[in-house]
Amino acid sequence: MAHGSRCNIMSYNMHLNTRVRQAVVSLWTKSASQVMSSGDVLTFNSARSTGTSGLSVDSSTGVITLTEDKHYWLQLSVDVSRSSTSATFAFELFDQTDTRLDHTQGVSRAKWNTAPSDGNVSLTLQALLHDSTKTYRIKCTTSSGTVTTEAGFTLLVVETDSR
Amino acid sequence: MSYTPLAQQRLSAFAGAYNGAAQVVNVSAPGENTRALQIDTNVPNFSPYIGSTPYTMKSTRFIGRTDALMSPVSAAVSSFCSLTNSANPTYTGGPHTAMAWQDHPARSDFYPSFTDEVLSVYVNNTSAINRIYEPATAYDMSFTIPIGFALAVGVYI
Repeated sequence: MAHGSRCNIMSYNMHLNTRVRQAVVSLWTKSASQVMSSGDVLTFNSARSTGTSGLSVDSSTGVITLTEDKHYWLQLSVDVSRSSTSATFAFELFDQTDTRLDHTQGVSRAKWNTAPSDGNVSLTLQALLHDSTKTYRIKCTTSSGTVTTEAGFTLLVVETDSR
Repeated sequence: MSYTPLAQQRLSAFAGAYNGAAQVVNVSAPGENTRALQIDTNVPNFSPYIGSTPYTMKSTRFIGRTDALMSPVSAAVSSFCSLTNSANPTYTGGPHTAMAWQDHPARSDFYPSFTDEVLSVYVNNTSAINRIYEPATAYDMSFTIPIGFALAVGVYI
């Protein structure tokens, strides 16, 4: 009897791991260019979505807030022009304590390098987020001058229930 | 009491994995082109990505990137990596290669295209064949990858 019960539990757990979760896809865009100096926070002011999104972006402060019990996959596509063609820039994700998030949160930065000794470039930032007790911001750093966002600058968010 | 099994329904859960330690991927012999990157650590709080066999990812759609420094730096050496079916490790094209991303030592002289560096991978692993990262180069060289700089994030399907 005990052996049979164990088998049932194992089978049930396997099925739970393969259940469908509701997913919502949102695309955040900017209606106007944003001129950013080093340390500035990225903002978005327009979104279209396949449903009710649990993620919101404050159009003034750029603060990103999450609804609890959801998982989020963020993909930021960087499209900018630079005031200096020799400048390096990066877009990275920070929490409300200004702590930069890294690979342990599934985060890879978007960074443009001009020197081969500084690693590869990527114009896609991505992140896996789940902690709704925190708020988040995407900040720009640039080695010189400013960067100006262009029309192709978008934030794609895919979210699912985490329960 | 009736029980409706859910096994036939599709799965959708986010997952991520990265290299948990810095590594140097050596391609020691000229012409050698098969070396696995050690993406061995799951992102906490999300579904486990790496199974019992390291370097394998099954039934996923994901985006990954790897940030690495090449050595030596030579204009003749530009390839970096591709995602390949481990059962058929060819990187020259065909259904088993998802997409390659590259490094180029001369990028201080020009601006690389998106495909130079950014990796977008689609893996529809319906046959449950493992996938593996492999550098694609015909030169004696190495890639130095800091911890967490080989990262793949995506969704199960």
